[in-house]
Amino acid sequence: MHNDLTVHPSDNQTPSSAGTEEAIRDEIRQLETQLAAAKAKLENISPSPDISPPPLPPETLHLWLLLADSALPIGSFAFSSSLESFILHRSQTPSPQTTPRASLTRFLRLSLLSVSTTTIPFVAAAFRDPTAAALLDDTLDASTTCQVARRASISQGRALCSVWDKSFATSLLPANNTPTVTFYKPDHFAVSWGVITRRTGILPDTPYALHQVLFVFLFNHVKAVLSAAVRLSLIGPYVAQQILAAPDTRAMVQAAVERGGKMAVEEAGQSVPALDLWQGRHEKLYTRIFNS
Amino acid sequence: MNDTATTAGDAAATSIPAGDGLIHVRLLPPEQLTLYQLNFKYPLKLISPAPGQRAKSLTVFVLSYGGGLVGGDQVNLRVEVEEGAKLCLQTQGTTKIFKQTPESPPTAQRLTARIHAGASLLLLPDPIQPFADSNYLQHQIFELADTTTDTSSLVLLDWVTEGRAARNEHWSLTRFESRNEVFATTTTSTSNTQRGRLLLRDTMILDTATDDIGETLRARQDGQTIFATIIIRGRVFAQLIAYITARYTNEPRIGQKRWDTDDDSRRHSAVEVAARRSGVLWAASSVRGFLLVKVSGVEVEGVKVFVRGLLSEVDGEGVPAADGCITAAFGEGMFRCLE
Repeated sequence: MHNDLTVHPSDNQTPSSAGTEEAIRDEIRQLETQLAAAKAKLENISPSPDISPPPLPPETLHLWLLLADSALPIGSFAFSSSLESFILHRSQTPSPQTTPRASLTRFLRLSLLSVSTTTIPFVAAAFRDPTAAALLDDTLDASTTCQVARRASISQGRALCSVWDKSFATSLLPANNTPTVTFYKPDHFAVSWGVITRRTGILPDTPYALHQVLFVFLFNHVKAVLSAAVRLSLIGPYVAQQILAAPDTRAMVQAAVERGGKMAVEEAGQSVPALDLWQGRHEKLYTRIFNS
Repeated sequence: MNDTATTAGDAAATSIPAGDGLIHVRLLPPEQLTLYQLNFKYPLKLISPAPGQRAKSLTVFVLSYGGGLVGGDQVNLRVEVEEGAKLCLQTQGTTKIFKQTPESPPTAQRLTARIHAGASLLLLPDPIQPFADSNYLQHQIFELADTTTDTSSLVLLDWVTEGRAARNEHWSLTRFESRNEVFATTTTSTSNTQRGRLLLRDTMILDTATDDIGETLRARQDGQTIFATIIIRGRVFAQLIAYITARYTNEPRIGQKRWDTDDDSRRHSAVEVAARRSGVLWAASSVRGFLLVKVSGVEVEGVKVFVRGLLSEVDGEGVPAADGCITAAFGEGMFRCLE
């Protein structure tokens, strides 16, 4: 890289140039102080909207507390997203160096990568255009080629639609003055998540709202995997909270949101092929606690 | 290879774009299978050994000059299998994908195959072998004309290896994407047949761009050196589907017990023990009228033996069934790429 300001080693040896350098540094410091002061002045006159995120209205907060609640009756506790199978396949080839916690965090990384490229594009597409739900649902059905994953997705998707019909449609919508409309109820979890968050009428069609939709979906996925890990006795509940609260976990979810949010559904696909094998072989376990 | 191989298509194909090819198979009355059309252009090469008088199927070898594809090569093959016809597509050795040069686009192979009512297609190639720093996109589309009585039949095998292990290549590729899509066809009022509903889409994406999750592609592949996908549909292969489904149902269970030594309800067959020893993992799913099989393994050879066993319906001792579905319908020599 060529740069006019580059100080050549030979220049540095003359005492006069060292003095000049000090003067320039002083000037930079001075200018930076001035810049900061000018920015603060501008901020006082007109607070710029694009720097700070929009505030979270109470009805949005309410919606996310409902949908992120582990008591949401969609039965997520019954699915381990193939963690159970992964762990049992591990235990056949035991390696003393790997702790259960290390195995779990590795699994979380792989699982988030996989979900971000197989499922998230469908959540995003359904949120952006809920009228396309029927086609998206059929496309996701055609793209979910593992029958174990498919049962898990359909079970939770239908359950979420039941929550809509039996609860949200009669209480959440009137509370927010959203008119009740009948619409296609998707089978698959990803599509129903996108459609239902949008149909509440609470979230606008903005990238910021979409980001929240995807973030909560993926964070719920992490919570479900961690809760499965606790019940599989891989970790205790405090460690589960440690992992859930860690900035690393947040960053992983954030990265998954960004990766999957910009993929079209036609581009979706399995990015961790080993997961397909573990997930498919879940039915072959001697004993199992979970349905996936 | 038969010396009377059909290669005449090359000369007639000067007007088609580079890498394009067309295979059109027709059944002439009473029972004569013919290559109605066979065109191709460099770097694609198609060779068809002349079929015998009573051949049950036609075989076409899909080749590339130099035995591999370099950065920027674009292969575009269209296949049409007419009513009553049977076509088997094979290769001669792995498809090597060479490294991408800075100025070249990804290497791409596209296949569009239409399978008419009463027609069947076997796609049994050697594995794809992506070399270090290669960038490959494979997109295969299959259009089934008859999905109501399921007389359009298909077996497709799609597999990829880690690269040249002898050169210490273990998933050292830059990017690899393979997409298999099966569509139904619909007939419009003007009796044009066009692509209809998406029936199945199976996609594998291996991308080093996602190494930023804190685990490299090689590590994500979890010690497996080969991944295979088999997709089967159609009446002709009903017996094969039933065989594989039964084998998966009887597959030894995984768990706390050591399945190969512990006392179980039954003795494990030689085939199961061999698969186990060579680190084969497999799963079968029945989805939307298809049987979809995923296989991975720590050694390529073991997976080849296993896949050949599945497709030739071997018994517990590894002996292929005398009335194996593929051989019965297509004749001998369908498993060359699996040997």
